[in-house]
Amino acid sequence: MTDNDVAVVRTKPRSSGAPPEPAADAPAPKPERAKRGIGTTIRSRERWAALSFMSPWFLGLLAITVGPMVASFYLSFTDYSLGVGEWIGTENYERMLDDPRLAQSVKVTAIYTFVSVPLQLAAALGLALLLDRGLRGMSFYRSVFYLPSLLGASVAIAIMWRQVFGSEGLVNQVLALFGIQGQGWVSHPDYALGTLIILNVWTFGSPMIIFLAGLRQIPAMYYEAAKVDGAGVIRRFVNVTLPLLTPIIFFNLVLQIINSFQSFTQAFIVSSGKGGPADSTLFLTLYLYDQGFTKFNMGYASAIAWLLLAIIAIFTALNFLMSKFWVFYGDND
Amino acid sequence: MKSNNPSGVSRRTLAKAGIFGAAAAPLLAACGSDDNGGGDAGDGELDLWWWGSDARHEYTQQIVEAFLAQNEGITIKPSPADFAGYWDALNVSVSGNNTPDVMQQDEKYLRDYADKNALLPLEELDIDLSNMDEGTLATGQLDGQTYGIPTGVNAIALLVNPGLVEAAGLTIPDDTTWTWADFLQFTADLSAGGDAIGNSGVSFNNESLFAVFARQKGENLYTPEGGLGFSESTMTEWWELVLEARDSGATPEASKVVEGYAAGQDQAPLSTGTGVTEFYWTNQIGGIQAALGSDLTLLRVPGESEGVQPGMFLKSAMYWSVARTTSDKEAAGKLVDFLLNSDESIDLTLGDRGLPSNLAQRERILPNLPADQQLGADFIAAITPDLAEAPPVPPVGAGAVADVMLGIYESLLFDQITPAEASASFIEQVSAEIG
Repeated sequence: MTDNDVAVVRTKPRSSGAPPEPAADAPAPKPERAKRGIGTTIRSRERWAALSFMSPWFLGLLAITVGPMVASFYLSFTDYSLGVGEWIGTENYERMLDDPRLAQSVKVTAIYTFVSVPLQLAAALGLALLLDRGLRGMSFYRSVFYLPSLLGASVAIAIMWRQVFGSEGLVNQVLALFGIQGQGWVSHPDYALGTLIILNVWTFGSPMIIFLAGLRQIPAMYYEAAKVDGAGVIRRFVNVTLPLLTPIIFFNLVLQIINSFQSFTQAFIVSSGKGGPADSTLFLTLYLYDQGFTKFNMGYASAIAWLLLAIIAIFTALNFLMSKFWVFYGDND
Repeated sequence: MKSNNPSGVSRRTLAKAGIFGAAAAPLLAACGSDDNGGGDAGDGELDLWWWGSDARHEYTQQIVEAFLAQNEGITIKPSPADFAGYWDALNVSVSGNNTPDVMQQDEKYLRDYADKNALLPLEELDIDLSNMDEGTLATGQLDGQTYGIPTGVNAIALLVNPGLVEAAGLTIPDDTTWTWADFLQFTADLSAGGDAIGNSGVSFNNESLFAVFARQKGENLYTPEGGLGFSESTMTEWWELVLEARDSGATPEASKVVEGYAAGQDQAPLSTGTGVTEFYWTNQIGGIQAALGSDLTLLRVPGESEGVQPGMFLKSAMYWSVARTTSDKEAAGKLVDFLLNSDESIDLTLGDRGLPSNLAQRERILPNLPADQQLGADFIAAITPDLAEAPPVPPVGAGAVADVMLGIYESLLFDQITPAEASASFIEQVSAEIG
């Protein structure tokens, strides 16, 4: 790895486009220093103006996000249900330790996330590489591949998915052409989660678009230099593309992990809202919904919501910690 | 089989999926008036909530108009919904202190809402109950007070497609004497003799059907004190029967059962002609016959003469309840009275909210019922003389039982647990909910 980094860095001065860059960077600090001299009154007035422009958003944040979050945190320490609730301390959180369905839902969510996110990112990166070659009608293909991302979380697609993977569905009709006797994939506990993972992988469009943008950011000169050094396609991908794309991969990874921990609609529709068959698609969000809205245990549901938040926070923090070891920003070494 | 939802609402999951359910809930809640008053002089503004099919939405609107024509100074905001979306919306609304003034209620949830102080004891209102059957009224009470007045009664029945029975070369058995063993044999023969499956297996997770089975053994689903009223061995026997049905081919393979259940009433095997028999409530017959396009025959649940007593019972189809926080008690009482007792209301409702609980009105409309409702009415009339004592009302928390039973039924069908484990798990989970 270090060898390659050195190689990349060494190529810099060799290419023609590089020299102007540092020059452009250098004068940048100057205006800022100048600003600082103008005095604080304008700056603070500007700050107030900025804050007042931000206030609609800020009020929305308080009323729609922060307020309910504080309320749900409080409710998680009560047995709140249908408008009445009493303080019960940490009972809801203690109850989690001995709740097999909660354990099952954590397991299902974890499997879903750790299988579907890597597959989805691999698919997204693969297609981004193909599309990056500047084909004719490229924007058309880009739109086509992006489409599932827009549709994937919708109710209509989830219903279609249930049909496609049903016992009389498209998948089994295709399998029948090859003489394979299929079965109801969505309605079998061994396969139901698999169909949801495929659905999530299929929505690779938005990470793909981000990858495409990232690929465009990699200066062509690196590839030229690598070519001159005799690197083949695979070597160029491994030694140039991948290292320079790591910040984008990292970004997509964080985003998709958070997304998939929160996914709800697909499982809700595909499993008829119960997380079935036999709890095999019982996502954490689905169990939360079940406790809150069908069993009226709003207090416990609030506690589960905070468990979900904690899990997402832990994984995001881990992600950031580990990123030090593999994400290459190009300027910090 | 969603207990007593006559429309069947095959789109129930769709409706629940945030779009119509969670998203509509705050909207509906926001539509509510400020129900904080409750003083003597009401404001005459009532929210009226119900669930049901499109047909029910239409005729209920007409009832509301008839009521308004007779009662000046009252305004009503009607909010129709489908069964699943209804409970999400109601839960959110009640939690937000916007309980609708008058609402349809279900036996499974009535006590939950009453227990949380959301409902008004209806003794406080001027509602004529003189024509109501005492036993039926009792199903809407908690601790001696009435929180919901039943609209009508239902019974569970085995719906049979006679054309498919004939096609399989069989005859319809005598339902007054048949046993569960006869039922298993009959449905297995149907599967073997024809293209359609003998029984689609989408009702063995219905706690009401299991309640019939338990009652035939002299037990009950719940005790009057609100505990579980059956023995573990009875339930194990039930789950063994389920596996026997699956293994003999009477019911389809597990994943097909799950699919049939998820398809909803209109797309379930009985409705599409791919299943010969299934257990449903009598007020669902119309919807199923309409989907199927041909007539059905109603049979009693098997085993009625096999055990210590008949197990079938009449269930209150649904209830009318009033919010404790209603802004106008007098108007709410008038509306409920009108819905239950007036000719205008019953002429439009007929048997759609169960065979009317007002016995005088039931008598009056019996000759005018459409053919499909007549079928259910005749069935109820036929079984009524044989019924044993009515089952105790479900305890607080019973609304969770259906989901628990479905989860266990699925695990059992896929051989993840044994019948004995299924019973133990059911008892443990349900005890936690109703405890």
